[in-house]
Amino acid sequence: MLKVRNLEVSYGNKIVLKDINFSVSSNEILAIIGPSGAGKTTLIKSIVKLIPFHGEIELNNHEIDLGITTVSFVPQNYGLLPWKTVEQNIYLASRIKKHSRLSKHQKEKIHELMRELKIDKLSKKFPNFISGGQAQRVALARSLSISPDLLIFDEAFSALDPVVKKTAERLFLNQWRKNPTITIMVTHNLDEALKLSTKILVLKNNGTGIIMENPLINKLSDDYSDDKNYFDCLSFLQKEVDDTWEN
Amino acid sequence: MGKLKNTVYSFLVINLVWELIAKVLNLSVLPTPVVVYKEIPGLLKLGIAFHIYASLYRIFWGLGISSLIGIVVGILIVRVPKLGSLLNPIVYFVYPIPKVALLPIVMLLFGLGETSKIIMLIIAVSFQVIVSVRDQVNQIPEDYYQTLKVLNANSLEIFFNVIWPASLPGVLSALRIALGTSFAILFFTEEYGSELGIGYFIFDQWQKMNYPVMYAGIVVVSIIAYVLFEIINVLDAYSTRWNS
Repeated sequence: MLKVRNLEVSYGNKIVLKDINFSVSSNEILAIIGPSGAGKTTLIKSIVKLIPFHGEIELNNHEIDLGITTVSFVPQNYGLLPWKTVEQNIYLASRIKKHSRLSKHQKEKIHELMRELKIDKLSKKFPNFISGGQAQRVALARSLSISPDLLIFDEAFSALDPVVKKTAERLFLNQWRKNPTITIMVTHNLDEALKLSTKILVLKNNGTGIIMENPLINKLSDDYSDDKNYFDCLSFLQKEVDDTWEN
Repeated sequence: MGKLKNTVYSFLVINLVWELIAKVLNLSVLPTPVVVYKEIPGLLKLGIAFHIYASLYRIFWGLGISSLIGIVVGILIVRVPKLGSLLNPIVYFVYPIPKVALLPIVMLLFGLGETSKIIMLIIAVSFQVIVSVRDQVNQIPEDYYQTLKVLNANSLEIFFNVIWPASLPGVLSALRIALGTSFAILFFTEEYGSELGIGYFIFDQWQKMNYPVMYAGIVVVSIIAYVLFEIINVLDAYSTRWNS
């Protein structure tokens, strides 16, 4: 379980986040929402120790140590290295995590994952020559290939067009259901937050946040289009966001 | 095939213009291309191979050490901001100084031998590589570092997977410019305290007023430079194949 207690992050004298408290267990996905500038990316970067913070962040009752804990972080532009092929980009995560070359068995497992995410035919292509949707799946494959203890996405679905996005979300959920991992995803898209999370953290304009259970009945489902509850939930979430930013 | 055709056309155009100017001026100081090319086979007897070897040896060490300095300093300027704020003004201050002006000082300090010639090349070329690498490393998106840092990558892994491949096109681009500078610097440095080097050879033939052989030496320099440029182009095309 990931526990965040009394988290505070400042840039110089400016407090960006304060009194942030939440927990996420291994069968949960937390969506962090809020408008641009709310501190969403700052929050996840502090969790993965990319920026300094005050407060406590624990994973399974221990402070996060990147040398011991396996964390996968998918940044906004997916962070694929353009000079490495799709296959090399995915291998790289395991190579760095293990500080050694990959065994044949490990490579086979990665290729199996690539087949499931329908990117196996792109192995030898460079990221500059694949579409945004394909790059997103490559980043997903890279992050899942190391069986992370903690999976973090920063707007990883936001740049995709609606059709590609739906496929990407379905593929992600299929993989996540097979191996549920503590997952945090930052999004500014309320629809994405409702569909892909179990819990939602709404960041307020004063740097604090409110945590709530995802009210959607068919959450983590591939199909919610007939769910009347979906539109009620979307309105509810929109109101929450509006309120937190008006007050 | 298209590239070869263009190279042949360029070669023909240069020679036509040369021929035209030589014919119009009709001076012994400017022989026609045919007269010059006839001298090329005879250059071997004049020991041109040794002169070429001496110059290439200096260029190899000069550019090699400059690249090393340029890569290290260029990366440090960006990745260690405190050092960068100290080094950046020094680079801007020294970069525009015409390096040939330092030749007498370098010769006084390091003598007339190989060391001073290689040091002159290093002084002239290093700043070009530093600036180019610095700009290239500056453009690396922070995302690339962050993804690897979260995986607990060490500095060497970050260097070989991110910084080196990202800065390589900048290094090669700087070397391409530096190559031209190197030949110009060599021409000056080889005039002093040296009896070997293509710069010395050309200068020597000029003093002997042996103009066709002097031009043949210049043609040899052009051919060597062309081959070296092409080697850099091939390396550049390979190192940036992910982008083309």
